[in-house]
Amino acid sequence: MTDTVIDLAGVTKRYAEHLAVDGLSLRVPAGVIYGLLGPNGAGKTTTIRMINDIVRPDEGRILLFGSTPPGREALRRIGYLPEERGLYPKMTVRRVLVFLAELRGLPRAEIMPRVERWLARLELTEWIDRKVESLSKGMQQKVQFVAAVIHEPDLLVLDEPFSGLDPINADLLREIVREQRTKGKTILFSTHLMEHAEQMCDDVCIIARAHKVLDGKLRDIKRDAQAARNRVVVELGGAHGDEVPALLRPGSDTGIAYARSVANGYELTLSQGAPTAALLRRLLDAGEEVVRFEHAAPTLHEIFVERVRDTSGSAPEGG
Amino acid sequence: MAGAWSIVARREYAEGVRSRWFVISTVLGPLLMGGIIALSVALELRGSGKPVRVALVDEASPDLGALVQTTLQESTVGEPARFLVEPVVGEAASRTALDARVESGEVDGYLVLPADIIVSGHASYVGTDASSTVDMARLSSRVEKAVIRSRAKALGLKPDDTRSLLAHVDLDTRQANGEGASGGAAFGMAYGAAILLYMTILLYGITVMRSVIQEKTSRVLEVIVACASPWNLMVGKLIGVGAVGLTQMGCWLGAAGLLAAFRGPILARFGVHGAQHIALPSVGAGPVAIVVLYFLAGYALYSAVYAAVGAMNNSERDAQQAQMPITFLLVGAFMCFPVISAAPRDPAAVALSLVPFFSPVLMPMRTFLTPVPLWQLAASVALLVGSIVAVTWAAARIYRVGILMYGKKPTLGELLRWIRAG
Repeated sequence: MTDTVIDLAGVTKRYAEHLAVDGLSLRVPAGVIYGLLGPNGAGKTTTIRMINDIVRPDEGRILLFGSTPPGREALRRIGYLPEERGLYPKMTVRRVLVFLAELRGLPRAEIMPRVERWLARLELTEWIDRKVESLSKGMQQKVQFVAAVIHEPDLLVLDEPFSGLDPINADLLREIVREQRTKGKTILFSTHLMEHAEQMCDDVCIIARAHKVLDGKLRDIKRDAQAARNRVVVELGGAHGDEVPALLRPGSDTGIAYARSVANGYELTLSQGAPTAALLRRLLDAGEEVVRFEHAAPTLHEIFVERVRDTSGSAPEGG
Repeated sequence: MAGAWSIVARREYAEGVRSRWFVISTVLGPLLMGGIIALSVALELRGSGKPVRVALVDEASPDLGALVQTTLQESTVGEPARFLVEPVVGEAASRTALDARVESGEVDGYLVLPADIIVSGHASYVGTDASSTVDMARLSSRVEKAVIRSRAKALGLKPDDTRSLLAHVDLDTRQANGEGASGGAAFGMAYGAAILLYMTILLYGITVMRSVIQEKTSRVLEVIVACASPWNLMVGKLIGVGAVGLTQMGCWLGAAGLLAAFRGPILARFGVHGAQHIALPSVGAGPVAIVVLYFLAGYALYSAVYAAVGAMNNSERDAQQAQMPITFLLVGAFMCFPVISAAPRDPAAVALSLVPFFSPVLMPMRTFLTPVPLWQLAASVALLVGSIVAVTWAAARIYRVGILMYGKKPTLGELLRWIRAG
């Protein structure tokens, strides 16, 4: 599927004191799990609020499902789990879910069967007539998640969905989110925890200080980062001192641009375009015992930290 | 799909009438009201049987003392003898002796007629019942009557002439507003209407404010505003809470009607009989309609402001402080009661009852006290509606920005910017 579910073009949002989002453009294709990543205060929640028509952009254009601006028409097709979570503490789980489902435009007759089905799925059935305030935080969060999915939205917007959940419930939620994708739904979720994004996302967009840092397919991003990095860690058997052996010294013959000694080995940066396989072959040909030869793909966390740090110097401050 | 406002209103109503304080206040209100009425009627009916024992110290002349004694003890039409007079002289007339007798409960009090009473027109009474306004008014008027008789005698008038001179004039005051209520009853109903309006508008205005604050502090708003525009949300909330208020008012008025209809059997349980013969002013549909209309208008006006106050604060404590000026407006309206009741047709009273933030309390009150020209009613309603539109418009703008603000409280300048930003 190549339909675009969310299409932001040059979206800017200013608050009195600062620039929350600056000229952000992104496209979320249909049927993917899309991660909106960034450090705290990067503009993730503001972007999500604009998609949900809670705040309006000062500049730029937002289109949902190809042609609809955020607002009433898109209402029924979006599910939203906000970062600021909360329900009416004095209402029962049943009544609060009926109310929220009605607001999403679900016909009353359809609501109760769905409430029962979803509560069963999330192991909350026995709590249906209890007041929200008597539930634990984690259970309240699951109830709120039910409110986000109960009308079977085409687009599910989840702001930091896993924060505050224990590992078992987090897994349960992940499973449901993947299931939604299988059904052809699109999921946009924000997080500042890269491990979560790495486990879940097909596509990501990293934003920092109101600007987009990079976006694209997670697989492509990781491959590019790996290629660009060319960092290899080598550990050799036998007696080698702290000094880098001749085989690993920088030079046009070795294809090594930089080398240094680290704990239990040497960290090398290969020259542009130098294949790792050639280095490994040379080491083996020289009769070295290779204990470790690591051309690790950088984790998303590493890419994120690197890229965000890179931009922090050059990115203009909001004002 | 039903409008979002109606879903919001239904939720507010369903949760409102389910809440504990609604049930308690709806039930306790009439009980308390009925209890107070029963108690006061019981006291009134029981107390009237017992005469007041008065020791009389006559320092003027024996003539006057005898005259005062007869005047106090005589029965007149519609007013049975209330006083048992015991003249005291010599040692028994000393203040210490009298104070001791009052203390011991032997007499209820003592009346001193000083030597110069005819000239100075001044007498004094000390007693345990000195705070009973009804008894003191009777005592005062009868002593005055006796002194006037004495003066008349000194002027050479015959007792018969004096009697005809002092013949009782009964002024029967009636309201000219077509309801036929007596002046006293009209005052009571005006006062009752003012209290009812003041209380319900304040109560439900504050309820709106607390409801907004709770949505903010529980963070439930974020997901609600994703589904409903702030305007729908605010209007739905005002309508829902207002409907709760109407329900409660209906319960109270219904209970008051039942209490009035069954006052005989109910009071009989308190040991008071014959209460069903106490005449009550009849309340027509007109006044009830006016009270309900002004409740709705006053509620709409105040609750929109309270909603805005709730939206710009982040905790109930902050909001409690911020709402003081608005509550003072309402208290101020209620405080105008004496001004209006003293002269309900005075231009000042007319003007006050037209001021939008005052009229919801003052105009219904005036309609009980005096016939209010139609143009004044129309003008006050027009001014109210205009204010409601303007205030709701501004409040909605503050509300829209405020509900998503969790930081510091806005300054006045920021508030104005929120309103202008639209």
